[in-house]
Amino acid sequence: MTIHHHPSEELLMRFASGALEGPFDIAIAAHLDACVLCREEVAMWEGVGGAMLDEIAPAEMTQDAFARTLAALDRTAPAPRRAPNRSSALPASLRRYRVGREFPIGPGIYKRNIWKAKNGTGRAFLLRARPGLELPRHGHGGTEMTYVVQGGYSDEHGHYEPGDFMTADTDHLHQPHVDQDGECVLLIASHGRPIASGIAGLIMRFFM
Amino acid sequence: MGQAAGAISRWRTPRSAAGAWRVSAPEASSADDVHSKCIIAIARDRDRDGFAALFSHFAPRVKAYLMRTGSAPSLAEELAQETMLSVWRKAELFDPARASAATWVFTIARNLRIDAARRVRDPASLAGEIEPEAPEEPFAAVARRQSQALIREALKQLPAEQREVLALSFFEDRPHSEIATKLKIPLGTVKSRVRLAVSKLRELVEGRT
Repeated sequence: MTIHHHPSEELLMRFASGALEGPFDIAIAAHLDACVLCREEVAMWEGVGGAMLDEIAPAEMTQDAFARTLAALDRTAPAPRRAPNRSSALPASLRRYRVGREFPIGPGIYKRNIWKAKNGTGRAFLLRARPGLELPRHGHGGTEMTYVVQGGYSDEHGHYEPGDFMTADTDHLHQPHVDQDGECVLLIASHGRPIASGIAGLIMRFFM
Repeated sequence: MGQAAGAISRWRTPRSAAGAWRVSAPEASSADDVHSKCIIAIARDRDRDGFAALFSHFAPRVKAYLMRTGSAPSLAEELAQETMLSVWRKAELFDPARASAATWVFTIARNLRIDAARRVRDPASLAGEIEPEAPEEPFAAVARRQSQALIREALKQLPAEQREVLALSFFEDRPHSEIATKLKIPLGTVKSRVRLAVSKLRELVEGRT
């Protein structure tokens, strides 16, 4: 698998520092499952984090902190739960999430929810689209990241295959077109809703 | 739906996985070697003296790290203790060939911080602890012990002003605008210092010229 589209260096840095908001680290983690180059980059930043941790001026712990932690050592660790989803078709990084059931959101297109912020502004979900499907031209009400799990699609800007990772910001219009030779599964993480034109666009707007 | 534009998702020049970390490295710091041995002793013998040594070094630092990234002192304290408990329970997953002790502890603390933030936003989404299928932290199998020592050396070689903005922007995730206000320097200067620090770091770590 040759991956042509990667998260920006800044995104990888923010992923490593733990600063990425809501759903975005889910999309990045999926890409990292597939991309050794980006894993290397993240590993470098984690090394920076470790070196900085070693040198930070320590804070004062509460007096009984050590005693309380020692007491906790003897308690049995909570039995690790089985990963809630063990589907080998999905990126390994998704195993810790309760991925919802698939439901149709339009002709030839299905959705599975992964994660949603309580206040409704951030979400991560999977989309499965039939071969050849053409989506309405749309833009985005916020940042959106897309990771290709399976299959491929094209838009005005390029062609995307498994492992590829794309970031789209507000004002970025495109019309995705699923490849003819197979279904396409995408992992999408977004803040804000897609803004679509036309009646078909209303469907997207309502469901996504 | 997502997309990419040439301008947004850049096409990265492939680097060879081996080449990036090839440079021969100085030995890891001896303090970190001691910490690594403590983690290994916990994995092997549930060694409490080793745990005490790790606790006294890392717990107050993890707490300081969490407070700097915006956690309230009480949450930072709780997560620091939880981090140390994870060190004890996950010691078997530590692989000194892959990461320094400090990097391993950092990734545990960072992950707990992310999960704590996510629990606040959506308590139902996380399934909780799942059985580890493979050593999950730190992330990459490609990270080599010597590269960690290289990173330490590289950080030491950065000019103090670049190191400072890197610590603020990466380690404490402060926005560039906030760093500018805090250090009383123009926003453009913050951006250029971060850029210089990142490229210098990369050059030193990857042996690129």
